[in-house]
Amino acid sequence: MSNSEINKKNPQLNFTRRQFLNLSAVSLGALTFGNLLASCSQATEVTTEVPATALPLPTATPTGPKSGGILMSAAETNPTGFDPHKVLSLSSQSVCEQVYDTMFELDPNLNVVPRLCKSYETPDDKTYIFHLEEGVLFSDGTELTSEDVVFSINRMLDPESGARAAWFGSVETLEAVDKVTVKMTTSIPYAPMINNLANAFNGIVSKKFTEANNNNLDQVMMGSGPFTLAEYIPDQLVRLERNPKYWRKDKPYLDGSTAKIIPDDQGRVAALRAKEVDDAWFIDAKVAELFQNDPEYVVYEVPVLTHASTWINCSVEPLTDVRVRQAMSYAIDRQAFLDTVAFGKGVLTGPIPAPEKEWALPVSDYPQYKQDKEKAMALLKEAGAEGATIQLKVSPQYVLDTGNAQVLQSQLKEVGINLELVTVEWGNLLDAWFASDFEMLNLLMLGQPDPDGYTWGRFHSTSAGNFAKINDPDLDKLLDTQRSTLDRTTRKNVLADVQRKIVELTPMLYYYCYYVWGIFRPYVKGVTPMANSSGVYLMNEWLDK
Amino acid sequence: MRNYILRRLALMLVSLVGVSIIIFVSIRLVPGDVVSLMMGQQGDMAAGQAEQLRKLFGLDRPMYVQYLDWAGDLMRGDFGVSLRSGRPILPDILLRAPITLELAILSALIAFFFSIPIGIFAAVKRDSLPALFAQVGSLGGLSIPAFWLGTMVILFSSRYLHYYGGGTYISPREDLIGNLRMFILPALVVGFSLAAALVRYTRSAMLEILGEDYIRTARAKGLWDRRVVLHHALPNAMIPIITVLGLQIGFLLGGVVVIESVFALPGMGRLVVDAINQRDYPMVQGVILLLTFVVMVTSLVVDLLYAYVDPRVRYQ
Repeated sequence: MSNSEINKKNPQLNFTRRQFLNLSAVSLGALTFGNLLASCSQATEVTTEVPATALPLPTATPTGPKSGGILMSAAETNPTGFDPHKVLSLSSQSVCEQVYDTMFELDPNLNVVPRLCKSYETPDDKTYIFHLEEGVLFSDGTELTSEDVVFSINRMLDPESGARAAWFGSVETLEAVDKVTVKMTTSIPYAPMINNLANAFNGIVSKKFTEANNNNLDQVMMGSGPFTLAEYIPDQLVRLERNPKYWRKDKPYLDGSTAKIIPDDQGRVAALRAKEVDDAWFIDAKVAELFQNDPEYVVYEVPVLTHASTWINCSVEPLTDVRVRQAMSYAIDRQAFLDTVAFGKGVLTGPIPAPEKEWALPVSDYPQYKQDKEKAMALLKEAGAEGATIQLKVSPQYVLDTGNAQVLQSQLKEVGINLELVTVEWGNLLDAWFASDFEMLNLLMLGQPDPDGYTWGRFHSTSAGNFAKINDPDLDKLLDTQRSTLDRTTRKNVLADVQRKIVELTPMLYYYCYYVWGIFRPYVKGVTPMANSSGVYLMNEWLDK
Repeated sequence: MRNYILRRLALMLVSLVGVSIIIFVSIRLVPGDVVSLMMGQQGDMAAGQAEQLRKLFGLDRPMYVQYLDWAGDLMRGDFGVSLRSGRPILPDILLRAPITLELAILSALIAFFFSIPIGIFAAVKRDSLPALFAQVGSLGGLSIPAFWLGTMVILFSSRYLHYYGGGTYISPREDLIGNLRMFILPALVVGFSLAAALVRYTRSAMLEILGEDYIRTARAKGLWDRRVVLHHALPNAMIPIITVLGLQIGFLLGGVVVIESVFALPGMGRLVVDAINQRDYPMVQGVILLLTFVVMVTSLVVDLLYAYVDPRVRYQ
């Protein structure tokens, strides 16, 4: 995109010389941090915005953040509950991450950065010593201490109150050493720990408040986060108010944020057009086009962690033969999936979604990603599976899933595999998936807090989520190694091997991560779109009006 | 009359018990239970928790035990708690009921006040050009899907009038004008398709009656045309019209889901569709049972109305 085009879209970018120099300084700073702004969340328009938390440098906006005002947003669905340790939906996450603080947080590039825990040590592979920020207050004015952290992690682990045993099951002991120090030991070296503690679902709650509410946080919220929940009316609105006791200086800038619940795409478009809301998000590329050249709106394009994929059941004939699975991997042209089904709006991906830049291998590293029909047919011949008929289950719940199924069917036909599409209702599909009652199955997979979820969680022979029923001792070994390697650089190398191995064994076919579009009014500043659909940087948003 | 009403009410009770069993069983027969749907695509992450959640929700017990438990609570006026949100069900239903009710009543009023005169006109002046327009318009109303019309209306109003108004409910007690502004567009859209049906019924009922002997007699007596139409023909034409309107109101109460979604009206339709999609059993049961009750009451009221419009109808 040329500079003049950017200027047309965003009137904010008519720089003076000084502003330009400021921006250059910021970009340079970003480069030194290894965070080239242009690559922030890969969001096209984000190039014009500076995430204040990630970069402790002056922002390039002419006036700097202003405090005050209420941000009106349009949300698609109701939150499904407010207990941070139970909920799993994005709609609940969007509230929990505003009201509760987490130990760590993810920056716009999904790297872990400190939040409540300002630093930590690992004296050995199974011990963590966390040092908390001092003087952090809950919104009721009580102090957040190490006792609350110990209480919260125990609560996540307890099957009666929390649903996070899968993430924290390795925790052995937890101890509040002093008011701002927590010591944790684990039964095994467990690398996902820090990323899991950065996940918005694992907020730190107040021990006192939780006990006063009989351990039931389904309907009440009280945390140390930048906002408090002021009002929730199902199907109507979620209203957040600024937490005046928030511990980060000047944050949040907004006095409040109200999300109107508008389920219909056209309804959200209308609310934007009528200027009744300041922002809304869409998955449909066609909607984004409506606003693309309108100076009254700014469009953010963000690739998300959700990845289009096909599960392959490695325990049914002829898919037990790795050559048949590999043949399918060679037979398909993944770019065609992206181009025809998602109109080219997305990025190709492997086992770890492409926007997870710290961990994901570029798809050019996988030889199987280069379509080779002859090799595919040779592999099928070797396996004696020429002309095989395989069943693929798919649900009309997501149009991308059915679209991918049709492309897959036509591409496999070219190498002689007859793919039979079986369309089932959403609930039916989920049940089939959980029970591994499928030969192949199309499903949009969601983001995970840690790469362990995309790898160990799905493909370790002992994992409850191994619905592909793959059982490969070499893969298991690699998966265990990445899980127990605490050093991030070493782990990254192991995870590279893991990803190559997964693509080689093909228990799943991966296609692409698609884009979502945030449509904002131009006066909303400091917007930081995240690939994990998190709104954790709402505290940096401000209204320039 | 009183005996008739009592008999109908007793029948209603029996029907409600029957309906409650049907809802209870049928929602559980749909594949994918509340826990599966709750885990959704994160099932690989939450795989170990499914059984624990089912136990927590009491779904591991035999179905008849679950039914008796639910029915017992219902007798005490306790509709239970939503499995999905953890919120008590009755307050959530009562929050939405006025919205759906208001939409249904407003749409019915709009339909009624437009369709009856137009229908009469189309019958009396059946060969005129305006009558032809009425015919074509009503055909359009029947054929154009409400969701499309609704979408066009909001796109037009948001683009050119800068008004959308969806999202939050404004109570008429707080702000009557704001409340009407919120409802006027969806009520017009729903009212339009409803009116289309009523225009056709009114026209055909009127045409039939205008050919009757007693109408010719009335005219022969030298009565004015207007008096013949309004006092002699219309009351007799009202019976099929009221029947249709009654049926439509029942439909409106449960069936304006799409309109509620397009206009972001937080009504019962959206509630029940979300609940079904998420297999939120107690919520589905509560809402459907209540809707069934309202439809039954509406049909009773319609039946009683017959007696007023047609003196020949007597209830023993």
